[in-house]
Amino acid sequence: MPARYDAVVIGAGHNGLTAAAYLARAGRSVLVLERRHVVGGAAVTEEIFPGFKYSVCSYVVSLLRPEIIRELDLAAHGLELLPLDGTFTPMPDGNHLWRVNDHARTYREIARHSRLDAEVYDEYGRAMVEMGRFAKDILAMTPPDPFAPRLRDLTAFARLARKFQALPAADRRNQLQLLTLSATDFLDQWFETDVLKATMAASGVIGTFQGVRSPGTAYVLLHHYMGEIDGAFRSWGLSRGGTGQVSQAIASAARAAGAEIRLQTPVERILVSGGTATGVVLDNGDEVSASAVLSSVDPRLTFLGMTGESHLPPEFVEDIRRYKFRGSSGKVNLALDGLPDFTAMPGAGPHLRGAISISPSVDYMERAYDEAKYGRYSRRPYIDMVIPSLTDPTVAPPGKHVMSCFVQYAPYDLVEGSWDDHREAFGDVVVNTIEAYAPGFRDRILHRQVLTPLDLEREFGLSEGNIFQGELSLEQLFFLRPAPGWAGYRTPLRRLYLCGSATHPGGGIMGAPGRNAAAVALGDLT
Amino acid sequence: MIVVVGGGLNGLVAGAVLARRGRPVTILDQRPVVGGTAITTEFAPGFHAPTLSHAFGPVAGDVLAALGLDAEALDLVAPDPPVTVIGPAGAAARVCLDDEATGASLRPVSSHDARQWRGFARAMRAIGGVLRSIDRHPPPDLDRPSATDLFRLLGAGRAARGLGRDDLARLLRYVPMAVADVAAEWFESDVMQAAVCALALHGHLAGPWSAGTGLLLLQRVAAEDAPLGRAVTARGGPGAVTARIADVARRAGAVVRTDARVARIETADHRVTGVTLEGGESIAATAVVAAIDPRQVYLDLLPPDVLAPSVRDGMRHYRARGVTMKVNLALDEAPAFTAIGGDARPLAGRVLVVPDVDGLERAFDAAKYGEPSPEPWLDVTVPTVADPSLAPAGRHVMSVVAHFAPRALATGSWDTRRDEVVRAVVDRLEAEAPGLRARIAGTEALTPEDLERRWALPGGHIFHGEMTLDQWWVARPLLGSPGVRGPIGGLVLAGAGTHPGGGLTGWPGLLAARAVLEIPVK
Repeated sequence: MPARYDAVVIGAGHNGLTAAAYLARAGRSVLVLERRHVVGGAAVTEEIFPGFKYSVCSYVVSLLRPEIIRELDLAAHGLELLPLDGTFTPMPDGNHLWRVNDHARTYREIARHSRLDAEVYDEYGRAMVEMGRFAKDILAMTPPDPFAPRLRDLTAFARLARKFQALPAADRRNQLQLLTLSATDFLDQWFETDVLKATMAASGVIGTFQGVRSPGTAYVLLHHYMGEIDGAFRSWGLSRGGTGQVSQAIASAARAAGAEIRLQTPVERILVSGGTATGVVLDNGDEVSASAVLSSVDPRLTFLGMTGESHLPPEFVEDIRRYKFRGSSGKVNLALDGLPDFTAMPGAGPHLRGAISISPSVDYMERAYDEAKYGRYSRRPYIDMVIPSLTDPTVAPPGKHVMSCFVQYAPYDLVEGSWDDHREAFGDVVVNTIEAYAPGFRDRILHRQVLTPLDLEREFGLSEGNIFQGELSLEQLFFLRPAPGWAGYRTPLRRLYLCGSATHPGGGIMGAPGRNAAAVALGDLT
Repeated sequence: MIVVVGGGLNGLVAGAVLARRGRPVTILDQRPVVGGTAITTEFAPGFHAPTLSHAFGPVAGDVLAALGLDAEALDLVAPDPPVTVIGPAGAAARVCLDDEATGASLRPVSSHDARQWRGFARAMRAIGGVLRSIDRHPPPDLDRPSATDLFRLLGAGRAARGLGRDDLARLLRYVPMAVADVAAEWFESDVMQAAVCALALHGHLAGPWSAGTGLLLLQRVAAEDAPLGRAVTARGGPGAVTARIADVARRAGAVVRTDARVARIETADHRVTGVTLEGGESIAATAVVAAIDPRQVYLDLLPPDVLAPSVRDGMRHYRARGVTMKVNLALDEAPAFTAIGGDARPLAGRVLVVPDVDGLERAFDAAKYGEPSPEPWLDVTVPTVADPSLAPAGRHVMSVVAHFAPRALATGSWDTRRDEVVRAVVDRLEAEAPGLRARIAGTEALTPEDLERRWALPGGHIFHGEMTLDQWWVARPLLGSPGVRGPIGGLVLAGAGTHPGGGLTGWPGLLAARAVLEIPVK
């Protein structure tokens, strides 16, 4: 084992692994260091309860960059994406909304609520796909720097401006509104059906400390039209074997290219000499020297934890301190003896195969947020459920199921007590909320895992439990992520790079930060 | 003939400037007096109040120059301290014209905030200066930017670069941020955090935690060229200022007509040809300056077939959700705010009666579900301190803007709920100024519905529409059809619903006048 590597990657989440794979494929010697006993970070499958494989944190795949799947040949390394079809929203009055990818059926279903909405639904989808195309190019680029612009930054801005200018007027307007409006205000312009707007808007607030009426949340609606499984816009998928399989496949690709991955090897600090990162010190005191250090953990841990303020410019430290995390969500994973039976649509039909959303009205969503603003978890939360065992039987014993419940809002900072006091009560709120729509549900639960924002921080190293390694709000995106002047994956220390979700283009199982950062690091290494 | 529709501040400025440049101008206003929302009315025998707006932007220097006026001629009053904040638990802070004085007033509240003031004031003035360089020019034409447009954009870019890295980063970060986060970056005390937030939220359906309220703060800072506002008033109230500008227009030859409501803007071959009044009278015109709410221009006054469907559709979704209630009180005696003590000077400026940031957010929570805030926050001034002529000797007028009072109520109507809000306002005042209730000799209360009905402000929005990022600059009122030059030849927009927006600065009116002067006369 060489004592010295071309690159050390801190953290074996999907972004760290992606960076490692690209570096290794370029012929560099790479060591990936992971604190936990398994690779994947928040994209991980774990058998917490015998026979049941939970996608513990992240539970759907949609934004994984197709070029990464292609270039790393992830299919050959065991990645198989299965379509997740439809969103089912049960309503308290026994009605429901069930949208599927089948165009005619969705049209009929929405028309049941509003003929006008059914008519405009297609037009909306087309507009969003157009917008998605524009935004997609931005995802792939390294953000230009307006603070100390060089010629290439200026040309990048000019190119963006020209592209925007070249859009048809209606698209320009949509684009501006997506960046600035609340999801509700944006959708109000298209639709009248409350439950439809609530369910669509819900996707705009996932993982953020914002409500569906908060300006800036419209933008995330786009993400749902940028998923590109097999090149088809707007599809969500599951990974066979659970979300962890995505990470396993990338890890396999990295290893095949020569990267070394060490588990249960926490990094204590980053070695700095004369303003240059020279390697890392492990928890056990061992030193690993490297020509480049790439950190896929968040900037708070990287800079305030592992680097130390004395090595950094004070205004940068100030920016990192200000960087907002504000985790707002929790996760409840359930092992089930049988499927839930929803009053709004009884039986074990195909409506259970997609996402099941507890988002009955815009006001319901907004009130869930109101509680979180003042430091309480929602007593009636928004829940996004998936039962992956219906699509992928390998994750549960025959006849049994696993259910993944993403829950919002669960603020990291509670006004009373700590999450250790509230964990089980929070789990009860989730179960009781579902029980109200699916009587008998509670009795089918064999095992329950409750993850609060505090657990996400402790177990997965996500500061304040933010699933995206920092709020995806406009002032923390693009050339401002994670700090003004340092959005290009480089940091104030030479040869230290960020490659996680705290860099452009942000969170989700995208892999783009890892790929972009590897390209920047490779450019510097040559 | 140039017809100006709407005789509010901006319409009067546009009309007066054009008349002074020798153009034949007719200014038409639907109400019995000109001035729009900037008027002074006797609401109780002998008591004159600033009926709606109680402070100017202030009126921009360029506007005064174009009118041949100055601050003295308009009898403007610049109170010091312009802003006094009464926060939770009686904490008070004075924001003075002089930074030293402000720092000194903050010391008992928080020594940290006292130290921070200078830096905050400096950053706000610098960033406000850059925004002002955008405010004072018409927004560029996105489809066919002219050489002038590009030159100005370059100029704004250079001004932004001139801020230096720290302030440029602040400008870019603050615009989309929640104002509560901006406030917390500088100040620790509830009273100062709430003051910063209140300045931004004024007139808008937004809470301190709403993203994008940072821009609202910066707009106010830019318009008022002061870190927390100037609260400029005038002797005789705002109505004296608009009356004076109407005089300038008349003396320059303009015709100013009241009780003249325009029913239609007439067009031919995609050009305006004149207007038709309710009652049938027609006035031919080569240019029409519409200094009214943009939705009425596009959706009511123009024939539907002359506009692209996307423009009409866009205007239908233009957001103008009014949230302010105006309460004018006739008082037998001067109010005595416990937190201010015996000093009357702060009452000449704005007195903000605010809860902490969470309290502001709670006030907003009610409004977003269509309920008036049970505990409203107040923007108060006592104009009779600087101008005793507004009330009988020894008596006073108190002017209160209360937030939030949503135009669209979830239950009941404004006719039935008006008194409930007045009660909440007086309760709040009584708590801060004990004995006030007993001194009230007369009350006038104007709801957002009154603003809509009597001042023709759809949605009851005091700024003719929210000034958020999606309705700002090139997108005010509509991306692709920004203000100033409308989509019809010879039609020029001049109200608060056009760039650079509301706040009684006169800028939209001046920009409109300049645009008309550029229109070639056929």
